[in-house]
Amino acid sequence: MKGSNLAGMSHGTSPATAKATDIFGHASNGKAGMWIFLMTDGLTFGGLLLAYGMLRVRNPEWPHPADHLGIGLSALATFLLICSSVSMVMAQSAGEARKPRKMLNLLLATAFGGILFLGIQVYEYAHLAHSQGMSFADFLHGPPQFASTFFIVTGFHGAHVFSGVVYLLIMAFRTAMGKYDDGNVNTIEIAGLFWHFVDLVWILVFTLVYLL
Amino acid sequence: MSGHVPEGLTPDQAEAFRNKKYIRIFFALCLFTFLEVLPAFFADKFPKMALDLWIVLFTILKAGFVGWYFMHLEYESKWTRIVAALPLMMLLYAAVLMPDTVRSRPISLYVPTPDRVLPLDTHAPSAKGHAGTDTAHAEATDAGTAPSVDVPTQPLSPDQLPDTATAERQAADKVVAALKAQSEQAKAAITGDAAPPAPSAGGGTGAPSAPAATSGSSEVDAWR
Repeated sequence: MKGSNLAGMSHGTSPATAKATDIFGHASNGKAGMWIFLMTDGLTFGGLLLAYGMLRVRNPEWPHPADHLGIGLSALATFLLICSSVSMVMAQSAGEARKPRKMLNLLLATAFGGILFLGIQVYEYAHLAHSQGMSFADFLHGPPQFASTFFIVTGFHGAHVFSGVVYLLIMAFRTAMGKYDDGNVNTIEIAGLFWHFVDLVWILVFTLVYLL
Repeated sequence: MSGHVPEGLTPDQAEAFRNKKYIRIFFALCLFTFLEVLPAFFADKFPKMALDLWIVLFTILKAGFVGWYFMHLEYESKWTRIVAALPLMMLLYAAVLMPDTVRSRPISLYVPTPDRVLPLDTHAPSAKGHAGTDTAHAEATDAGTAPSVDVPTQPLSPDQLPDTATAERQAADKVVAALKAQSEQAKAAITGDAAPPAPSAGGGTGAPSAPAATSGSSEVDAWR
């Protein structure tokens, strides 16, 4: 089944019978679908970040983010997401080596990293609301757009982290049920794609919203 | 993905081979994060543009590493990579929109009003402080120095706009300066500081944006 999807073997087929997934090489249909979804999701994030940038460059009173948002805490959150990305690829690696038990533990560790990230975000939101007067629509020490764009961008990312944690926990449950004992971890790899995407977007958000 | 490791390895050896690589990527990502945060401690020592370029460089490296190694784009087909890279179109869009955005007149929507500031003001700790601010609030309103901003409320017709971008920029800078001064005044009045409101910048005219022979309205005239 895997061989029939290889791009190299599609040359003999006529265009009418060529599978749509041929152009995706060895990638399964599910993986190609996840990539297409991630592309659209990336464009959504791109639109939000572009709107943020345009509001920011036009506003001469825009504060320096480091003065109001804690860089230390968000750097820790970045580190957490990187760690959870590594445990995700290692989970897949263990699954390929037919170690479902190890894969389960690594999946749970990944989900735990996501939960810690969400905890940091909740703490950060509460802290900013109280000490900086930031709310979804208002900001005590500068243009309200500073707070609005911050919560829109990081909130949308946080929603992705939450979805990712639920996704990972479902995958961990399926692993515990023995669904991936045969070493076919394609489904886990697709879940991993989503999780790495969440990490990748945070890398961009961390730079654009917190550091620059 | 067993094809990504050398032939002839046992599953355990293949797993160790893959994980060794992942751990190296992990250390690279940690290093990049550290280098990214570093400019925050040298904000005064280097030009901001240089520091920003430094940060963006490592951000691109980090995002690229995650996509290329963790999302296995290194093993995917050309079209999978193209689909994955499509969101980069937003950079093109930004390149088209940003120059005009940077040149256009600045928006300044930060006008502290009593209603906005008081509920969130953590700098007024005691009940006495609140009473003080309330009084200041009332006085400010009665005296007509409530934060009113003399910006044009009517849309400008094309023939009212200045001829050159330079003149527009200078006029915009003046309005921003006036807005900032008014913001400071209003903030001082609301938070109960003793700073007396300056007579200029529309003070005493009552209705916001009312044309009057003050410096504030002359700033507005510069717009027209």
